[in-house]
Amino acid sequence: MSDIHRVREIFDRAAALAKVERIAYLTHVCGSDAELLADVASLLACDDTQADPIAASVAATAASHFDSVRPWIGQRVGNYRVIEELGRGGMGSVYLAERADREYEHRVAIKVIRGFPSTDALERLRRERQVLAGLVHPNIARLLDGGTTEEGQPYLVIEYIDGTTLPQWLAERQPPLQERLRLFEQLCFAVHHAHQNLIVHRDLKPGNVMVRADGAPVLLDFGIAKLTAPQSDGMAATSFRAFTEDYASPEQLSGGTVTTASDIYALGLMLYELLCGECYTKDKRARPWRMHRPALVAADSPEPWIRRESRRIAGDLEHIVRRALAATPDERYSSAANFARDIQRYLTRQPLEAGPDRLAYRVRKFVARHRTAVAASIVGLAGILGTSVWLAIERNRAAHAERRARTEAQTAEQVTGFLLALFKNAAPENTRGRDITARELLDAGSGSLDHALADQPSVRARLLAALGEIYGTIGYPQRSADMLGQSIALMRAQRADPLRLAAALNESCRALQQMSDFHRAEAACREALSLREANLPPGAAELGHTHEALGVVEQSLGDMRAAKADYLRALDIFSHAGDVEREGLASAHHDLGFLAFHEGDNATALSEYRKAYDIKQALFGDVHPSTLNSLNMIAQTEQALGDLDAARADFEKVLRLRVQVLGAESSVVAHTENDLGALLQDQGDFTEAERHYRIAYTLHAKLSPDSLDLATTANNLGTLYEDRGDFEAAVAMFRESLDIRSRKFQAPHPSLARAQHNFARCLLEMGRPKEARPLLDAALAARKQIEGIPAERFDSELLDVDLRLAGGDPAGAERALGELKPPQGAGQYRRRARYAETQARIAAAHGNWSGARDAEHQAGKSLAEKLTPANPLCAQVAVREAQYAAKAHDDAHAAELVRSALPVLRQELAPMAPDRIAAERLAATLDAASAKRTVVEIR
Amino acid sequence: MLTPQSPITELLHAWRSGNNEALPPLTELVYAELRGMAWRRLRGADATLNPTALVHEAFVRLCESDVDWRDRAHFFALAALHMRNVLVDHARALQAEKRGGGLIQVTLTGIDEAPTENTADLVALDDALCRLESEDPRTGKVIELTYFGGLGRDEIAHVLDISVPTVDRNLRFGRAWLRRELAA
Repeated sequence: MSDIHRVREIFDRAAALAKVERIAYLTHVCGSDAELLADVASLLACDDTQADPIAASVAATAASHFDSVRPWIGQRVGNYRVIEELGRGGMGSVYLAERADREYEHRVAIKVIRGFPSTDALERLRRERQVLAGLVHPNIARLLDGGTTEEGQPYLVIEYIDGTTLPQWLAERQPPLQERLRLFEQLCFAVHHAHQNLIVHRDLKPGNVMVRADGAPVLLDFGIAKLTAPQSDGMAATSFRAFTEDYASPEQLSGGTVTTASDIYALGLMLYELLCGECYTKDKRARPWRMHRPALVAADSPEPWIRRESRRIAGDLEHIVRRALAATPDERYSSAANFARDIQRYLTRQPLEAGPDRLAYRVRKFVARHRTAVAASIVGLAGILGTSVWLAIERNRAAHAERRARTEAQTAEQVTGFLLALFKNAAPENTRGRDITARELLDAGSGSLDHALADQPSVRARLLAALGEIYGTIGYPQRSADMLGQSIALMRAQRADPLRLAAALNESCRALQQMSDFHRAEAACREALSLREANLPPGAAELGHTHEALGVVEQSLGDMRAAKADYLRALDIFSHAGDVEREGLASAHHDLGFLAFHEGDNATALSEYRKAYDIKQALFGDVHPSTLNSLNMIAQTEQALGDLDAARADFEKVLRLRVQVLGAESSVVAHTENDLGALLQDQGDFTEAERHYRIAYTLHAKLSPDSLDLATTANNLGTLYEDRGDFEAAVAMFRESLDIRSRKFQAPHPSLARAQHNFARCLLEMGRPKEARPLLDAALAARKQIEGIPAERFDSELLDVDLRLAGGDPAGAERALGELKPPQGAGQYRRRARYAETQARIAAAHGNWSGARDAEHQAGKSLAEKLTPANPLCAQVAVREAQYAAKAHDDAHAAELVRSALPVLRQELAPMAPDRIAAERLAATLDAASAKRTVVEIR
Repeated sequence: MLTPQSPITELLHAWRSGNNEALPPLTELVYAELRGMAWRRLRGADATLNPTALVHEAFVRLCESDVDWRDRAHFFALAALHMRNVLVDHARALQAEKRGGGLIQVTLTGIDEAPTENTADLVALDDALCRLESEDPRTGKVIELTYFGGLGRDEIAHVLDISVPTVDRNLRFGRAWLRRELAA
């Protein structure tokens, strides 16, 4: 190619000439340079001063572009109409939108790229969709849908959070420190959930957190989040500096590798701000820490509500913030969950992971936490030692008066040495920096007891009994039983006081009962009983306690008659023992109630529980854990009796009071939330059920992640989502439930099989039979192998029929169904309904629409045995019946069914629930058909 | 502190004096104005959209009448560059989306030509223009200012500090060169 400047020069001149003169000029100028000549000639051929295609192309693109960036308000996006702008970020805007068809009152947030969708922005939106699709967590805004507008603008539909942003919430509510910390803790667990799904948020800041009306935080904007999965590593190449500098980690600012530790750092910055009300900006961070310690900043805050608690910030909370803000990622908390746990430790006054590693610090924390317990056990131990030693000395007083002083001093030294050993062995160098627990203190004590006091067996026996009792109380039955066993052996050898021996035997019975070693528990209890009967007057309260303990063992052994007899004996003794044994009386009533409940005699159970409750209420008041335990059983019994409204009221009361006593963060509260959720689900109040399940879920996830409690609630929440037709959410829950159980159990196990079965059923409902198959096969194999669960086995066999049907084998399905018998019994109504529904599907597969309609009708009748017509499950079945009826040209019946079901479905089902969509469509079709008919009739 | 609220003249002046902080608010302002005018056009009966006219109108609306001619020249240069980036990105994004498999129907108010062809043209045009700029930067600039900035020959002469006949010649050559490239 020739030099362009030379070409241009020749072109300019030639173009200025008349066409006829150009050839001569060009041959003259170019001479023998044929390439140059061709170059200029081809340009001249393209020289057209009339048309201007470039201008046309630019104009068309401009029109297309500006058209596509028209305002969104009022526009329709997918099924939604945009109402208003909620906010805008670097590249995108978020709008509030509602269902365009006015039938639904469903609000969502829609996220779009502002201006033109550049390749980078498209990539980010695509990635956010991918990231969010994998995240289902109560504290993370959920992805509902996504797509591309007619103009080619991609968008995401995200759960609309009705609340305020975190900064607004702080300004308006001015929450106390404790409340701010609780919120932060939940946030940490949400981030942890993302991290567990291999997602790094990368832009955590207060502005990206919404606070719901109930105070729960919700994490938003995964716009620049990164998947850390190995297969997605290629994405790291497209790094952009889109984060907010004041909330970015050092490695983010320096362009280093961004990991989960960067999110920990950002959480640290957020905590800093929550503590003192100010952002720990990049500039502040450049200066020494002590200049901007949160306690100092808080003390100087213009906000009184921040200033008020500034002194509480100094110390532990500052350690926590600094740990999270360590310059090197390795020195920060290893996970967001650990970060949260340190906040919990602060709130429950336990030693911090981030705390200074000093014995004094640990002991101070331990004592602060267990102020009463520690005092009691130390004083108690010292007391026992002191008295026993004193008694031993007393015996020898006359003969050995002189030795007395010396022995006493020696014993005092032994006591001191013993208590010191408790703490010495719990020093950090021995515990390798871990928290010291009550257990470790006791272990240290009992360890030194092995060597000490060998020459004073009776003192040793009593110490062992005391330690054994404490082990039992703090929940270590094995250790308790061991020590009590040693103590009992020593006492027998010493021919010790029979009543003291009886007390040790009674304690050991409790420990053995907890270990499910019922036969040894029974033996210990019977010996305690005979010792006490021989040495105490009839009607002594101790006898009542032993009868009660024995009753519990007998019930565990399955001897209900003996148990009842012992409970009644205890009841008799306590009722004559006067006011001091009112507590024992209440226990006996509770035990009798428990017995009746498990025998299926719910009426008796309810009356006994009520007696126990009344006594406890008078004795301890409403909020005592023991009172609440009886009330909880009352609620369960009412539920079993089918009095769901009463059960609901009582569960709600238990819940309210437990929260009042234990705080909202307790596993006992979580259990009640779960129970209440289950009740509400039975009642058909899906919205409330979801709320309670979610609370239980969040609590379990926080307090005991990876526990069966969490698996249970995840499963329940999964079934609820499934009942609502929100299968995506359900699948996430079932997966989590199965994951946890897979780590705990080996097949065949009923719990594992239940999770597999539920997961499989949900997959089938989503139209994914291939994935459902292996899960169902595993569940079915286990359920065939395990004895005594025929109802669950039936469930899996029925699901197997449905899977065959989905696999296109109606004949095989029909044969298999013929071999199944629907279970009888009042509690089996849902199983009978499922059976009838499968019959309906098979009939439909054969094109037998009236048969399908009748079978589906039967399913509805089964549900109606226990559920009200307003229950969404009934409405769902009604819609299916209506669909079959419409196919069978029974339009009037179909219309009637749909009309009554539709309001319930709109109220309780997810917007994308297939039954709800089907109902809306059917209603529209039937309306149109009837309108047409009307027109025809008028004509 | 420079904000989008600062008068455009001030921002322009600051930018021309080498204050790069002025560029983002300036760009945002110019783009917002261009966009607003474009919508009004698209909604009205006059559905042809001439970026040249748009930029001129934007200038009139945004700038005070006594603005320095050098600032004025810079405004056009900025507007042209920005308009080019915006439009080419738009065209490219549409193409990228098509390759992604999702068929999208671009609706264009009042434009008869098949829009996808035009957007494809623009990407090719931009590629060709980039090649031209690398070989002959001044001709490239003249084209950019003409088609994306809506500048007349006098203004281009001012901005690039060349004579008006040179602008004419460059424009004619550039057009021919681009047509040949695009025809290839």
